[in-house]
Amino acid sequence: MDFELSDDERSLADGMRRLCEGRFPMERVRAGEGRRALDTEGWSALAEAGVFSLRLADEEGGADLGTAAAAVVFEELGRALVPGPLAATHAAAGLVKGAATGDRPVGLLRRTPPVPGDPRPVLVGDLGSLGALLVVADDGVELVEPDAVGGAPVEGGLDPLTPLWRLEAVPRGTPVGDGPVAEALWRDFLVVEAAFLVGMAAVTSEMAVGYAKVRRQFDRPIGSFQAVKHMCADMLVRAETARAAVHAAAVTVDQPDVGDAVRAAHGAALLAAQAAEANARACIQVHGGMGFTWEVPAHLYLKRAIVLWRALGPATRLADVVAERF
Amino acid sequence: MDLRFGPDQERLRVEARDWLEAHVPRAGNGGPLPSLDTAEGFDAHRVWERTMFEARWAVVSWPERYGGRDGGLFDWLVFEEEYYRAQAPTRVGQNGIFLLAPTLFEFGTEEQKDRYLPPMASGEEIWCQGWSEPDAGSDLAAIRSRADRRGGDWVLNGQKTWCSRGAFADWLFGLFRSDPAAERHRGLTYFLVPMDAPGVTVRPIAQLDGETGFAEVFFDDVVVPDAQVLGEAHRGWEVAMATAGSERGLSLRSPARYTEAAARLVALHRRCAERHPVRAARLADAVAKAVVDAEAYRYHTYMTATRVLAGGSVGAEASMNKVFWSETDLAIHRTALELLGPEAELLDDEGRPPAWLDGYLFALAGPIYAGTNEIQRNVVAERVLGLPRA
Ligand SMILES: Cc1cc2nc3c(=O)[nH]c(=O)nc-3n(C[C@H](O)[C@H](O)[C@H](O)COP(=O)(O)OP(=O)(O)OC[C@H]3O[C@@H](n4cnc5c(N)ncnc54)[C@H](O)[C@@H]3O)c2cc1C
Repeated sequence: MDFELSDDERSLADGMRRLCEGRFPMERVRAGEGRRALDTEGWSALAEAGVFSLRLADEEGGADLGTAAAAVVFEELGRALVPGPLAATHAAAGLVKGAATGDRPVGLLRRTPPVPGDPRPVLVGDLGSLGALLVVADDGVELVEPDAVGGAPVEGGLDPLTPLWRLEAVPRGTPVGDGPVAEALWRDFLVVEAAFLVGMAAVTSEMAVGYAKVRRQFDRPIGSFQAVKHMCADMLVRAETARAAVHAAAVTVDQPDVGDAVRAAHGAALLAAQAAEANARACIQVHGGMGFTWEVPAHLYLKRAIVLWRALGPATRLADVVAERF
Repeated sequence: MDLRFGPDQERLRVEARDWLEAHVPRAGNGGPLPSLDTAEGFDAHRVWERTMFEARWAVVSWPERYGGRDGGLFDWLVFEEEYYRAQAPTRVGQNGIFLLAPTLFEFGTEEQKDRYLPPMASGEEIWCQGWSEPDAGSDLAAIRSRADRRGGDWVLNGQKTWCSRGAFADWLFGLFRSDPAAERHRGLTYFLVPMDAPGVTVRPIAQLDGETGFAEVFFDDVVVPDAQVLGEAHRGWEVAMATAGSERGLSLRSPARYTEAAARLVALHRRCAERHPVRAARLADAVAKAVVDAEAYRYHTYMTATRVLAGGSVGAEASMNKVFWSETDLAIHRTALELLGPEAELLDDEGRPPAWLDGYLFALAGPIYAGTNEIQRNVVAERVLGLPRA
């Protein structure tokens, strides 16, 4: 038993943080507000750094690293709020040609059983920049050519950093994997997206704590008020417990004998999504009026948390999977 | 105890319902109005205030001489229920009508009431509030904007911030430090200031919902006569607390706003149940909680109103209301987003912006404006419950 980051994982995290600080400082990320196309330069830098390929074997162009390493990397990406379909492209790296090298950004959708007479619009992020769209169902994975789906751009979506397209239904494509492939793909997607959400939860917690130390009211830092202290402490609790769950899920994917990785992935995704949303909201609250401005980026973390969570499935469904597999 | 309204109120309800039915701007009939936070939308909302005023619906609880109906608290609550049921436009005059007016009735001179109330009621003069400053939010008594005596007048200097609707408002009411030597709650004076006075500069601030709903206001040697002081000079804190009580308590956020939102949530849940039965079943508890909470807030308000009519007053208890309405509002809107799923972000069938999403984003401000919920909980704990101060 050694449930701590190894030295290698730590230096991976440091390297990723430096890359994000250099390539994706907040001003640069925010320059993309309202954009419809992916920042291809930034995307290529991530591909070169191995963000998509790192779990593939050496001979496949990867770094032979495990899911735990991927979680460490994605937490850093989440901290920086890097836009684009990162988790899906990473999870699809072994399955879709060109995903590992970043040449084909991949989108991911889940097909749920159709309800008769229910026209159900589906939202896809970054459709205009995708090279492939994967549709996951219980019994397999299908690949859809994005050009073939003809989605309509959505104006005024929630997250200014996630351009959306609307499809009238989940499209049909060519089968590229069976049930077990679908399960593994979705599991890996959940784990790395959860790691991304943990990074977001950690950053908003740090932003709130930083502000609570410098903002003064009643002649003292607001962080000296117990109500503010408790908000900040709760944020840390949410981020830390979610991180433990995400790391455990990642390790379980790498070491299947320790437990049920699918269950762990769903539980981790639930905790991480809750932490990211609740912490972003608390961050807004700790900032008071400033928190309600466009200028302070807290709202971007909240909006991304809601948008990412939607793709993972509702809280109760994530919880159901955990319960069913208990 | 008796939960029935009297015959007069029932008559008022029917009359209000019929009038609103015929006049609320709807699609195909001049509506819905464009966003309040645009010049065009602001004007459209002003015209709506005028329409209501002409039919004497703008200020039902005010005396007739100022454009009201001499109504009581319950008449007003009944009207509000109908107003929200009709999904009528947001009241652009709300800061004046619901916050300044009760304060004017309590502290204003006859000349001030005659001067300010009628154009406030008709929408001719829209008010914004100027309390907060960059270094004085929760700690309002720390304000530094100054009012100095010069000749027989006052001269204002400094900066206010987060003024809702400040970008388009005609007048501002707010606090300025008039006696820097006095204890910090004492040397403050409550002023009424025209936004077009020489020396006033407004800079809109973008909110997280993408609107420019609030603004910074700068004062640079703005000259104001004594006639524009509300209450006594240097006694502005007491006057301001009366206004703040209205904002948290009975008048700004009437329960109808939330019972109506809860009713819309139930309708949304029904539609969702037909199309996404699993999703709807999962959220049934949250919907039920929203309804129960909104109704509880309504009954709590009836109780408070009964006490006020019996000669009681709303003091620190207003802080309880504020915590409850703001958190109920957030819960209602968050549940709606869950019910809608991806549809939450899409324009509706008529191409209008997604109302529940916009409502959710604005609800995020509820625990911040009108005094943050942390401050309200302190007030409840210390002033209502008598717990020792930290
Ligand atoms: C949408 C919106 C509209 C607004 N409209 C207006 C307006 O029209 N006019 C106007 O004057 N102002 C307006 N405000 C400003 C609002 O009143 C202030 O934002 C609010 O009072 C908080 O002040 P602050 O922003 O300076 O936050 P701060 O006071 O700096 O508070 C930051 C955090 O510290 C906490 N805190 C501070 N002191 C304590 C304490 N003693 N105990 C526990 N916790 C504490 C707060 O709860 C908050 O979480 C508006 C704000 C919003 C968001």
